[in-house]
Formats: sequence, C-alpha cells, structure tokens
Amino acid sequence: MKHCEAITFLISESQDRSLTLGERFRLKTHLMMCRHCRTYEQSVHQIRDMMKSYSSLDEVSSTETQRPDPRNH
Amino acid sequence: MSELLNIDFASYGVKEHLQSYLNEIWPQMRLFAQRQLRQDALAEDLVQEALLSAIQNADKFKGQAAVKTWVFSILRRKIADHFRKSPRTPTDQTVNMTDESEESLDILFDERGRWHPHFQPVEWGNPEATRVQDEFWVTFDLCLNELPEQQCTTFMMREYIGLSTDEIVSELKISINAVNVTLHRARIRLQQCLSIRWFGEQQ
Repeated sequence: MKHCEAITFLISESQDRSLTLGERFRLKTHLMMCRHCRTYEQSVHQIRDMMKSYSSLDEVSSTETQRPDPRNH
Repeated sequence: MSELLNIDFASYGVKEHLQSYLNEIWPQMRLFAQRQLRQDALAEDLVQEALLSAIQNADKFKGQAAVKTWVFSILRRKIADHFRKSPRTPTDQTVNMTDESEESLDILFDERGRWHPHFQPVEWGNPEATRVQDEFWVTFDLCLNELPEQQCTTFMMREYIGLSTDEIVSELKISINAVNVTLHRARIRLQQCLSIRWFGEQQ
C-alpha cells in the first residue's frame, strides 16, 4: 500500500484516457490490497456522475417539468 | 459592461413572464460564460446568441426549470463550439498555470505515499439519494468554487463542457501532463471537500 499518491493520479487519468495494460494491472493489484484507494476510486466515479446531474441544472429537482427536446421544433 | 440585455424579446413574440425570467437568469449565464472564456465581450456575445436561439422555441416549454436547463445547454454547446473552432484564441488562462502546478498534495499522504490517516477517503453511502436534495447542490457548488481558479476552469472544461484533454491542451496551450495533473488535483480536492462538507455531516 505504498503508492496511494501515484495510484490516485492513475485513477484520475483513467477518467480521461485508456490506461495501458501495465497501468491497469498496477491499478488493479493495488486496489485489491488498498481499501482507501478503492473508496477514492468510487468517489471519483461518483463525482463524474454528479457533474452530469449538475450540468443539467435544476432538471433533478424539478419533477413537474420535462426536459425539453431541442429536436422537437 | 452593459447591464441590460440587448434583445427585443417582444419582437420575437416572447411572452412577458418568460421575458422577465430570461432577464433573471441572464446574469447567471453571463457569469458562467465569463468563467469559462475569460473574455467578457465574447462571453456576452455567446450568451446573446444562446438566448436568441433559445427564444425561438422557448415558449413551448412549460415551467421555468425546463427553460433554464435548455438555455444553459445551448450556451454550453456554444462555448464548446467556440473552443473547438478557435483553439488559438489567446486567453490569460495560461498565466496562472505555473503558480498552481507548484501546489502540493503532500499533506494528504505520508512520506511513503500512503493516505494520511486524517485524509483517508470515507464511504459516501448512497449518493443517489443525496443528489435529489437541493441542499446538496449548494454544497457541490461551494466545493467547485473553492477550487483554485485554474483547477476549476480545467475541471469544468473537461466535465461540464465536455472537452477532451487534447482540446484543453490546445485551448490552454499547456502540456498534456499539466492538464492531467490539474484534473487530478481538482478531483482529489472535490473528493476531500465533499467528504468533509457533505458526507461527513451525514454520519
């Protein structure tokens, strides 16, 4: 569990590009051993989902309205 | 900078209640565009364009939330288009880059690169349930705003506007490594901020 700092960087990079085979192996073996980085990885995925909800603004909180379809002229 | 929205809504047949609503959300749009573009005149132009293309159909939408969602999605597309078309536009975003890349995450990890006990990630429970709460988004906003400016801009370009890292590289004229490092720092800061300010309070 030595390299959490480097692993968190790899987790971030995995959001932006495909990791190489070696990187994936390194990530997987570390995550098997390290609960904290597993939790961190989960949070990074959750942050991406949150940004998706956030980018549709109040769509989430407004149940009475439908998202307009811009193709529907 | 003009404080008045320079669009004659009436001539587009926009109903009055919608006019006043658009006038209400316009400053939010301008602020958002300025943050992304760092060029006030350009930001105003894109906001105007977005509003103009939105109002052609805006009357069809029931409820202000739907209008706001739609108008902002048009604005985001326009900003993304701008970045794609003119990646050479000089911005002052490069200026601060070096300062911030000196920033260290050392405090989060011990000398052997392991999580410092105080900063070890905590389980977030069920974020699905969290996200339907309005207050959560206030906290989320707060954490985004607490990011150093460069991290916020880069992270928003990536996750909100939806640019690829290559596109961010050509827009900010910095190395891909600098983009990756900045995104990494933004993510780890957000994780820490949300853990403390939201998920910490829930337990």
